[in-house]
Amino acid sequence: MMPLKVTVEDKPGGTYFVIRPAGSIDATTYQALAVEVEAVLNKSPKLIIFDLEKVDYVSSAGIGVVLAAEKVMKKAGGKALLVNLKPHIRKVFDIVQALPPQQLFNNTKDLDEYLAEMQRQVREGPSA
Amino acid sequence: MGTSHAREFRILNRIAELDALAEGLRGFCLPGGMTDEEFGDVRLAVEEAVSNTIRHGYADREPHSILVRASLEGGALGVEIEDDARAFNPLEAPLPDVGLPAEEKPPGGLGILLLRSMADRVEYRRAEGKNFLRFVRILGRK
Repeated sequence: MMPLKVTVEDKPGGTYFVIRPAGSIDATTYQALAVEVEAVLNKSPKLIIFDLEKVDYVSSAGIGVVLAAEKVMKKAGGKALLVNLKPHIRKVFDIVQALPPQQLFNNTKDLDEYLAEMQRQVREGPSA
Repeated sequence: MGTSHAREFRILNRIAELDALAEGLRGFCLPGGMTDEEFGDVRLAVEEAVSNTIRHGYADREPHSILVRASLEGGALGVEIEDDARAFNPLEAPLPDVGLPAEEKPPGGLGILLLRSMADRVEYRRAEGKNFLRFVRILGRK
């Protein structure tokens, strides 16, 4: 099995980060993701996005990293989102309900719409 | 290399051994008619069971053997995991309450939930100081 590769992109202003693991997030590789997530959390972002487009397998070890990130983010008033989950990866997250369904996005378009609405609400306040 | 109907894999109680075990199982399951997606579920069930044993099953740090037997028969894959770890029946372990909010979710228990979700049948017995965990996955199930 290939080692897990993780790239991190910080968005302008450092307000949110996109974490992109590639490969298999399992008991032998999850720590590579955990290290990157910890580094991001230390920057106190308001939002972390896990882009799982290139993830082909996830076990409870990997889910634990995402769940731990969500706990930290939620405590700080932020949240973690997942995007681009392959159907069999989505199935695993649905079984364990690591994140609420409204924090999982099947594609980037849906996520972008959600982010645009969040930004609109920041500017203008919630819709009536 | 022809298609076998049964194969045994012996690993040590080390997390690093899971990779080779997964590769070995893949080499057995896919030529036997299993799809990639089905094998992903099987791999997950095996990883959750074996990693749980490795992490929590031994009071010492000595090497222990874990035997994984795979068989294909009648359109179903059977996997039996034999180990000499402390007695543990995953069928009697309480399942986590997945409906809890994130901050209340305990860190453990997800592996057992996933094992039981990926298999069509799970059986456990304890004999001669060993755990025998067997699960069955029917090929082609929706």
